Formats: sequence, structure tokens, C-alpha cells
Amino acid sequence: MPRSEDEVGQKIDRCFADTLLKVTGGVAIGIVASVAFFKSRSWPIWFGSGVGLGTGWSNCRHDFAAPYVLHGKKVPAGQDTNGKPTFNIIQENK
Amino acid sequence: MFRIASKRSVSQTLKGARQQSNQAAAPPKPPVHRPKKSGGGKGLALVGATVAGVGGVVGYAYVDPEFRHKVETTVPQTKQVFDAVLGEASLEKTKKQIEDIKEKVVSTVSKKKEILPPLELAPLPPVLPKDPVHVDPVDVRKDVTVVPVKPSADIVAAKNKQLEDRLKNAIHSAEGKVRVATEAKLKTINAINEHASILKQTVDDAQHANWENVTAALQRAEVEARQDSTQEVDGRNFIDNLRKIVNDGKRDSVTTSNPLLLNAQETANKLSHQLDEVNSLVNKARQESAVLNQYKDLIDKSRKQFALEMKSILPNVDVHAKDKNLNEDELNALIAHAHLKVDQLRRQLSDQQVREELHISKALDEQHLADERIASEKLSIELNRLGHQKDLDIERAVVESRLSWEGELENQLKRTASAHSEHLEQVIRTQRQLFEIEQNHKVEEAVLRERDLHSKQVGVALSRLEGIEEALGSRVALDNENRRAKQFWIACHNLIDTLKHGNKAGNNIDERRLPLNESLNLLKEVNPEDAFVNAIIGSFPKQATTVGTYTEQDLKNRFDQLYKVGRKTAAIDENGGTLGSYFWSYVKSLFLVDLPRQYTENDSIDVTYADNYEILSRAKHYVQVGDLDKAIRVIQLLKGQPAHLAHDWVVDTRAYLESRLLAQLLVAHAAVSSIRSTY
Repeated sequence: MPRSEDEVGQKIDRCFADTLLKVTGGVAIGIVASVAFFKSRSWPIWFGSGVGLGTGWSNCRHDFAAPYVLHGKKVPAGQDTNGKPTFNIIQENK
Repeated sequence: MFRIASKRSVSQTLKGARQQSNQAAAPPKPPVHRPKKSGGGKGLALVGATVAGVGGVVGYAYVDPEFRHKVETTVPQTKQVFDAVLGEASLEKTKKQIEDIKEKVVSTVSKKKEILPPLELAPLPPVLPKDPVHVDPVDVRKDVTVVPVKPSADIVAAKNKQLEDRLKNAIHSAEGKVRVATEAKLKTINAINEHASILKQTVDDAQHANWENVTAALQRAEVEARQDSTQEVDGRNFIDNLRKIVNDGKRDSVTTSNPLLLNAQETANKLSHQLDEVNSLVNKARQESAVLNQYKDLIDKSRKQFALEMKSILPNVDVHAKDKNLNEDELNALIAHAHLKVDQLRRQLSDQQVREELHISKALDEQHLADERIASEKLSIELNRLGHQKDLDIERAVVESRLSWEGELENQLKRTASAHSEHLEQVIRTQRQLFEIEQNHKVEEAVLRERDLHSKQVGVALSRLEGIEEALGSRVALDNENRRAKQFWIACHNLIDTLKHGNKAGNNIDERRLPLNESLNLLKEVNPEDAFVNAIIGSFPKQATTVGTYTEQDLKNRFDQLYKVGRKTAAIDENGGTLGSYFWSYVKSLFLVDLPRQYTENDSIDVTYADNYEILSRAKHYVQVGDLDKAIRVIQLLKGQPAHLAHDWVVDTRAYLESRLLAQLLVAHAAVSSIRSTY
């Protein structure tokens, strides 16, 4: 369980990681699109990175604006009687 | 030899000297030798005189050693001369001579001085050395009354027996002796009688007189008399012995009342009486024989007279000579004398006849006197006997009466004694009963008292014993508690240590957390019945028991982190903010400098105006000081994002502080119980 004083740092960490992921995804989509649809032009790459950056920013802003949100994971835990899979939500870093 | 010779010579010379000195008191040498002077020449005379002088000097020196000594001392060289001539004068010799002279002188002087009666010195009574008077100290207080000890019956019987034996022996011997004496007396009487008869016969039958027989009889009688006297003395001695024994027996208080004593005395009296009687018989016989002797004397006298007459008439005729014929003249003379004699005798006879009366009366008187004497003797003997007998009777009566009186007295005494003893017994019995009742009462009381006392004492002792046991028990319990408390104290200190430092081997902050479960359980085991300890252990925060609190240093480190982040997010609202506001807050914190300030204990904090920076600054100060308690209080004043950030820290630190407080309480408890159980 994270200690409360480390929360801000973790949020920043998460922001960077998320943003990096989003940028990377955007760049990748931009490259694919550039190669496939736009005859290797560069703007789809910038666009993709811009979208990814924006997404990451937005996520980060939400995160900082909601201090009481608990972050967790969904872990599969077998099947219920109807054959549907069940999940347990486990708090992050615990 | 020399000495004797010298003595002799000395005595001779002494005699000579004495004669000379008697003759003249002049000095010896010149006068003695002066007559020697001859009428020769003058020189010859001178030489002779010198020689004579020298010789005289030498001679006198020989005689008188004192003179010699004088000469020797006055005239020198004479010593050699004297020595040569007279020989050495030994001191002994001279002394001897002096002594001899002295003896002689003294003897002569004493003879001469017989006239003077020697002064008779009244001999002083010899002073006898007197012993110092010695007085034995007498204890005055001591009771000196001598209680006459009554001899026991055995001793009395033995003494009586002894006395009886002695008496019997004495009686037997005395009787025997007396019998012998009596027999001897009788023999004496017989001998005397025989002597008398023989004498009479002899006197009567003068023709055939055999005087030898008479003499023999007399001798026999005398012998018998001697014997009988010795026997009598013997007998008397034995009787005296008997009497002595009787007296002894009487004197002894033990044997006074012996009946045999009286009998013995009686016997003694009888025996002495017997002897007396026999003595009187002997005397009688003697008297008779004395009469006969008188008769014999008379006859002898008449015969002698006759013979004298015959001799006067016929001086040449032996009357007794037989076978001798007398001539006619003689016969005639004889006849004439006979006639005359007859005539004279006839006249005498007539005279005698006349006088016979007188004689008879005289004889009768004599006889009477003799009879009287005998009678008086007998009377005295009888009186003596009677006196003895009477004494004896009186004694016997006295003894009997005394016996009876004693018996009566004894009976009376017995009766009195029995009555007295009965009375005494009764009195004693009643007294005893009374005394017993009283005594029983007293004894009961005393027993009750004693029992009470005893029970009290026992109770006291028991309670004391219980107290002691309790004290001992509590002592033991206290000891145990003390020991436990000490162990507990150590354990609590361990707990505090654990709290403070956690698991020292841990590499990161979470590993350093140490759950207190184990140590708390241990404490619980150590003090299972202590409600206080149980309550405290029960009130430990769950975090501390399960996962463990953070160590103090970790908490401080965490506060540093909190301080940094808090300052950076100090301007953020509690509902979060935009990224810009975060950024702005960060920038703001960069420009705000936290100047180090001193906060005192009594510093007050204005809650309304205190911003997060101020609060964090104070909290930092408190944390640095180590006062986490105050730091928490201050931190709780944070607002906005920092309050949110500080939440975990506050919770953990509070848990830590709670645990620490509880552990300190436990330590205090342990210390208190240790002190309490210390004596």
C-alpha cells in the first residue's frame, strides 16, 4: 500500500508512464498511417504523437483532480454458476 | 708410762713442795740450798751457789710450768736450756698437771673445810615450760543436750546373755573354790582335832609318849591350815570377783534388771557366809586345841617342877634313868620327899579344892567370854548375812516393784499414747479432708487459670506463627513477584527497544517493521494474572501487534519526505487541483525559504492564520527535537492536499506513540511492582 506522502510522486510517475505510452502509441499509429495511407508523409506521425500527448495530459489532469480515486486491477477468479468468468478487483501496489 | 712416771714424780715433788711451803712461805730457791754451803773457797762457794741456783730454777721450772714459762719469757735463751734439760713442755702435759694439782688441792681443801656446812641452796622449783593456753572455740548456739540413746533389744539381750554367762562362770568357779576351801577347812579341823587328841593321849600316857606323832600331827595341822588359808583366800577372791561382776551388771543400765544378778549376789552372800561359818568352826577347834595346849603346858610345867625338885633333892640322880638302883639313903630321901610332897600336894589339893570353885568360876567366865566372843562372831556373821539378805530382799522387792510399776506405767503410757494418737489421727484426718477440698479447689482454679493462660498463649503463638507463615509466604510470593517484576521490567524494556528500533536486520522500511505479537504474548505468559498488564496488552493497536509499527527513525525519514511534498503541494486544495496549480504550488515553494526558527514550549499557534508552511515548519522542528506527539498535533492542523498526504504518517506515528506509551506503562508497572515487592 502506498504511503500517502508518496501519492503525488506516484501520480507523476503514472502520468509520465501513461503519456509515454500514449505518445508511443500515437507515433506508431501515425507511422503506420503515414506509410499506409499518406505516402510516407510525416504529419500523421506528429499528429499521432500529439494525440498521445494530449491523451496523457488529460489523464494526468484527471488523476490530479481526483485525489480520492482508488486505483486497482481486475484479476480473473474462476467462473460463476452461469459459466461467466468472475473477477476480483485488487488495489494497486498492495 | 711417761705420764704415770711424771705424775708420780709430780705428786712426790708436790708433797715435798707442800712441806716446804708449810715450813716457810719464802721463795724456794735460796733457802733450800743454803745449807749446802760448805766452808771451801769463796769461788767454789760462788760456783756452787750458781749451780744450785740454776738447778733450783730448773727444778722449779720442771715442777711449775708456769714458772718455767715466766722464766722463758723474761730471760732469753733459757728456752733452749729448758728444752734440752727438761724436754719439751707440752701444753697438754702442763694442763694435765694443773688438773691433777687442782684435784688434789680440791680434795684436801674439801676435807679440811668439813666444818663449814655447805650452804644449802633451796632448789628452785623447775620452771616447766607451760603450753600456751589454748581454748577451743565452742559453738554456743549448738544444742549440746545429749539424748541418751536407748540401746536396741538385740544389744540388751546380748549384753544380758554375756553377763549371765559371766555370772554363771563366776558362780561355778566360786562355788568350786569355796567347796575346796570348805573341804580344806574341814580337813584342817580334823587335823587340829587329831592333833589335839594325839596331844591329849600323849600327855595322858606319858609313859609311852610319842612326841614325834604329836609334832607330825601339828605339822600336818599347820600345813592343812596354810592350805586352807590359801584356799580361803582363793575362794574369797572368787567371791569378790563374783561381787564385782554383779556390781558391774548393776551399774550398767542395760543389765540392771537382770534377775540373775540378785541370785548371784545371794549365792555370793551364802558362800561367804559358809566360809565364815567354817572359819568359826576352825577357830572353835583351834580354841579347843589351845585349851589342850594349855593343859599340856601345865603338865609340862608340873613335870619340870617335879624334875627340879627331884634335882634339888637328889642332884646326882637321874630320875629318868632306868636300870639303876638307888641306894637306901637316896630312896629314903626320896620317900621323905615324897611324903612331904604328898603332904604338900594334899594341902595343895585341899587348897585347890577350895580354889577349884574360883577356878571353875574363872574357867566358866573364860568359857563364857569365849562363848560370847564366838556368839558375837556368829552374831555378827549372822547379822552380816541377814543384812546382805535383807539388802538382797529389798533390792529384789525394789526390782519387782519397779518392774511392775514400769509395766503399769508402760500400759498407761500406751493407753494414753493410743488415745492421743487416735485423737491426733482424727484431727489430722479432718484437717486433711479440709485441706484436700481447699487444695482441690485451688488446684482446679490454678488449672483453669493456667489453661486459660496456656490457650491464650497458644492462640497468640499460633496467630504469630500464622503471621510468620503468611509473612514468609508473602515473602516468597513477593520474592517471586519481585523476580517476575524484574524479568518483566527487562522484557518491557526489550519491548520499547523493539518499538524504537524494529527489526534491525531489515534492509528497507517495511522489513524493519516488527510485529509485537510474540513479545506481547511472552509478557502475557510472564504475568498471566495481572489484569492491568492484560488490559494494556489488549489495548495495543492492531497495527502494532500484526504488522508492526515503523521505527522512530523511519517515521522521521518519512516526515522529511512529507515535509518536502507538503511544501510543494501546500497551495493545493484538498480536492486536488489542476496540473497548473500543482506546478504553481511547486514554483511557489521554490521561492519560499523556511528560515530556521526556535519554538518554545509555550508557543501558541493561531489556527485561523496558520498556513501549511508555518505548520510544516513547526512540525519539522518538533520532529527534529524528537517530540513526535506535538508534531502530530501540529500536523493535524494541515489543510488541503498536505493534510491528505500526511494522513498515513499521522496514523502510523500515532500507532507508534500509542505502543510506546503502553510499553512505557508496562515498564512503569514492572518498576512499581518490583519496588513494591522489594523489602
